[in-house]
Amino acid sequence: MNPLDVSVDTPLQKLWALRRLSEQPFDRQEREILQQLHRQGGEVVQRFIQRFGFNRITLAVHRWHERFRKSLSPEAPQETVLCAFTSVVDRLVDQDELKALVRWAASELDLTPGALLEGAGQRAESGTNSRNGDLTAEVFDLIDLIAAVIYFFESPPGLKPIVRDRTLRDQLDVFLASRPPGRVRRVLGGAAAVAADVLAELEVRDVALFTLYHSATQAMDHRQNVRRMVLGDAEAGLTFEAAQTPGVYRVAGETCEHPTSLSTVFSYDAGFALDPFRAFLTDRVIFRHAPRGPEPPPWREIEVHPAEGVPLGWTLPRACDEWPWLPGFVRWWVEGERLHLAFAGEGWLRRVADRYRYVILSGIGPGTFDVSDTADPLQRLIAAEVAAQLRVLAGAGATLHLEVSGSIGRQQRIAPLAEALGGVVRSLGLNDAELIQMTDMADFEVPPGTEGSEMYRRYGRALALAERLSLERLYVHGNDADLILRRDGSPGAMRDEVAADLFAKGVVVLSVLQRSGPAWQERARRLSPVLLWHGFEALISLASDLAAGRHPDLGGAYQRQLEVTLDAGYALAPQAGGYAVAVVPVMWPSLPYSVHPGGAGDICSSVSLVYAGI
Amino acid sequence: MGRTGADVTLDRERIVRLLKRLPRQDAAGQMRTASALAWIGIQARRPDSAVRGRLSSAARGRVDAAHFMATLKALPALPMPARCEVAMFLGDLAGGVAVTDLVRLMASPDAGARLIAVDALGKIGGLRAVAAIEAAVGDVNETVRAEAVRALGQLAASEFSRDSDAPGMRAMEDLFLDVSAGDPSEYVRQVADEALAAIREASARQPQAPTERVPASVLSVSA
Repeated sequence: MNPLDVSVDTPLQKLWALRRLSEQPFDRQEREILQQLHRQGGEVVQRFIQRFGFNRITLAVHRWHERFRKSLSPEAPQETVLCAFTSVVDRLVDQDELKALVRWAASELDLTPGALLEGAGQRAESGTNSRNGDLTAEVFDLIDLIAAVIYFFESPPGLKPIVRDRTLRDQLDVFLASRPPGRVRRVLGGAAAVAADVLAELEVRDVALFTLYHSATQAMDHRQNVRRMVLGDAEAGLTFEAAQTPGVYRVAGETCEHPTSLSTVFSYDAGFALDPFRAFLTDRVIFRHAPRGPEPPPWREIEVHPAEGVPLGWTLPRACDEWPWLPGFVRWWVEGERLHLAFAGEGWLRRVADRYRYVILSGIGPGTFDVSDTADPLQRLIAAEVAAQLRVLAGAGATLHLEVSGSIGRQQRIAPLAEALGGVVRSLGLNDAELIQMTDMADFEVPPGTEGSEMYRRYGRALALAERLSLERLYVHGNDADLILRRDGSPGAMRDEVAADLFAKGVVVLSVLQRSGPAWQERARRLSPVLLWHGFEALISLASDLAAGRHPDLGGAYQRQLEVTLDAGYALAPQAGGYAVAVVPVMWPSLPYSVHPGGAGDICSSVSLVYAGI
Repeated sequence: MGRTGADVTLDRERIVRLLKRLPRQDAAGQMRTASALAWIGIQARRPDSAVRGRLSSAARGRVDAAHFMATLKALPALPMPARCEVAMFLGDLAGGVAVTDLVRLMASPDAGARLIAVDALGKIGGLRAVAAIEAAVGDVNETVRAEAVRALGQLAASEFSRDSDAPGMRAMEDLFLDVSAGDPSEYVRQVADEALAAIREASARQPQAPTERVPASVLSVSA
């Protein structure tokens, strides 16, 4: 009987069913791993085989398989978690629609598709948009849009450019509306919204979402048991509503619906072509849009209120139905013809910290704080207010975790982020591509001495970032293995991290499958095996290089260190105050192209944080 | 040369050459040779299952037993990594001739070595191997116990898928039920439940009409 033919009501039952589906006979997977490691494994793996033999890999595969299976039945932590600040509705576009978009855009521009692609290709090669800005950050017309896709075909990973032009935004809407049913799907997105939804489904004790806007479109995609925290006026304090209830505001005695945050996601498979351009990797490009409300909006001016002090006026370069978005705990109201956005003060934040042990943050990054070169007082105000809010939350006892996402430019600097986060944000999550971006920032220097395998260099960057940001925990998720650094991590803490991460990866697979639409069970039946050779390559590489780095004589201490890392998945810090590291091979099936993995990293990061504990 | 069940060419001459060379080498050379043998064994595995024997009968060796003798004699003196590497090779290519030495490896204080030995015995099968694996069901190490249960489950499924009336079905069911009820590890209990389900499914799948017994899909290559 197929595991999915039985009742699978709870997330844990679903996980077990998925595991059974994706678990081919152990012998088959073991053989595949051994053969691929011998044939394709890097230099470190070949040296490992020469020295320790295939039997040592066989042992590691047995032990990790056992650990993986044991990780699937944890009890839901009795924790309180608030996820803030991002929520969005993702419009997922099938890859074949990219070809339709090119034809449609060419017709709109009175060009042939070939001429359009040629022009877009030139723009992609220059890396600049039609306004001589960064093509990977902003797009203004249809050629920019297609140029950005081509750019990320050839220079992955795909980032998240913002659609800055009203005409382009409307053209995109018209195109998407013209597509046959099923070609464009709508799912909940945004790190905070997705993390809150998944944690609530796992029955973590108290999970809430805070986001600036919460339209009916966003609300309808939430599960039943997620709550949304609302910052009322100073006397009312914190109030909560079901996340399925749309947010409303009042203006001139009337009740109005919140604006909607949307994004458009073009996913494609490796090798997919818009001739002559071909995607190098399976990936996606996300085009972000400003939140949109009714037209005309019920306000003409914007005023931003710091927690204390004089408000600032804000003139948005925007289309007339677009609303501003601010990071941080911000409440807002419309009065007269003015939209007021007010950063929450200490009283609110202390209440948040009293109620929630974990606050998982998203929507803030290096760009939020790197304002020394700008004369814009509003940007300075935002940076100062967000930093102050984080300090209050941390000072009042909340454990802050920041999930990094979005574009990180080489011209940005790490120093302002380090200053804002240092001693405040205890945990940070990002993917391996974002780790490279962050450690390539203008003022970041990765210390020498981390040559070796790709995995060891990744570890070196992670270590440098954790130290630079004074983090207690850094979580780097990848497609081959995850790295988790814990300052002074004890063996127990590191074992918990490994178990939580194995579980989190399973939750990711389940979650993105469920979000892929009603046919998710059919897709689940076609899952690949769980034990993947490149995960073990990453594990062996890091374990070997780490042991050799600490014990260059390759003697007994080297071997003991290597064996512990290989079998248990962690290495303790070499000295007090240093970072222990866990390395967890990815042991879940890779996802088929048709399953949009958006939010996978955010889910993994938040689930592992709450289940491992810090 | 011959073809294995995995459709990989088996270079008999090379195997024989390596087996002869191994006892005469220094430690580093022995490890290299042992790994070369292990790799041949890995390549020779069938894609779906590495199990070659059954509960009641050991797999036939893919190289004549005589060629293993010198290596088996040298086995106890090899450094442990090379010994485990050779054990893997024996599991993939040897027959009943290797069982005694693999059982000896199961007495190792190193749980990893015991696991490799159980794994190899589980591929060869036969009454002596099964008795040793049954003993490993009571090992102090959880991973070794789980591997022992898994190996028995595979051998039993191999047996009962061909002949549901073969003796031992009831004994295997009882063993797995005992483990499922009494092992201190939830993981081992789960493996026992799966083994039980697998042999029942294998038995149920067995064709109604009696069929001629098919020999294990191994290719014996004479020297």
